[in-house]
Amino acid sequence: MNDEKKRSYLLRDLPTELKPPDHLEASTLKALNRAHLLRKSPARLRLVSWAAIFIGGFALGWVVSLAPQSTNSAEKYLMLLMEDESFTYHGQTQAEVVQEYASWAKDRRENVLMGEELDMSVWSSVSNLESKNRVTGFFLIEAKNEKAAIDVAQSCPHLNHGGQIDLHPINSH
Amino acid sequence: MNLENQTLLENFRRARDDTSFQALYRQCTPRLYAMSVRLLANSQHDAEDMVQETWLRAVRGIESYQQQSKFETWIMGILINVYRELMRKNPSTSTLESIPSSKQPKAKPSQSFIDLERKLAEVPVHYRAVLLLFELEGMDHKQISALLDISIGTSKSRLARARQWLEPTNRSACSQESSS
Repeated sequence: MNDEKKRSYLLRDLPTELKPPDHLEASTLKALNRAHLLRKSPARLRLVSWAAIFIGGFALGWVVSLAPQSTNSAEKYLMLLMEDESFTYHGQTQAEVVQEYASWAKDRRENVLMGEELDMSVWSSVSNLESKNRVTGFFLIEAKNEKAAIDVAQSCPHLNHGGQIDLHPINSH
Repeated sequence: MNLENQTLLENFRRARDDTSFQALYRQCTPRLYAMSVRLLANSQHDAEDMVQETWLRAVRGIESYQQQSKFETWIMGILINVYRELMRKNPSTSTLESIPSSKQPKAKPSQSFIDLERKLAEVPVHYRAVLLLFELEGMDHKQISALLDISIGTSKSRLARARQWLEPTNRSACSQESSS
């Protein structure tokens, strides 16, 4: 066949490349990290260092600011959700637990400003080196004082699953 | 392998971290994704799974890549293997029945590549795989036969039939051959 070596005119308009969806890169990275096929990058270690400084700063701020700074307006607090091997789903699926947290946040919407679950495929290998406790998520809340903030934190379903919560006031300056 | 890809590959082999992987991924994935989408008749979800599985296998076996072939060809070979396994597990994937809209061939082919993609998706999958590797990836029949585990003669005949399928005037005759 004479035309075997020739490219057909039929596909000449077809691009040889297509832009993959953006989320595919993240999910591929996640899968590679989960399979321990990638090393920790210096960038990731830097991120952890900054996170440690950031969180340490909050803790320091909490110790230094023993006296209430403001009584006129609500104060912001960071609830760090932590867990170790004692954390349990109590037979629920992960999606059900996430829904449980979301419902709690909705019920507490006068206090809860925002919340996020962290991508543990990135953090777990690093935090395991330092502690069995891993920060797996956070909520930013607003409360009139520390006692009210503690009340909010104590109502969070994270504690019912065996998780721990660190509560840090955020300096307003 | 072009210089840019070689540098990206060497960087990744040295560092094996997120950053070096992302650079290599961004360079190579558009071609892998295009092939996946077309092999699977525009099933985006399956195509994404196929690309992800390809990268997992490629990273696992990156040390076995000897640079005797181009990296793009090597990783395309992995993708074809993933595709063949998928076909074995689920032979109905990407058959004509799974294509949502079966368009009647137009008397005059459109120049739009969207129409072309649609027509390509209607080509029976065995023919389509050979056509894509030959036409878009520039592989010869020897390479294709090795990748798909078929004879060189089969590769040639599948290419001819795929071309016939894309030509509306030849399609009915080809359809009869395909179903026999």
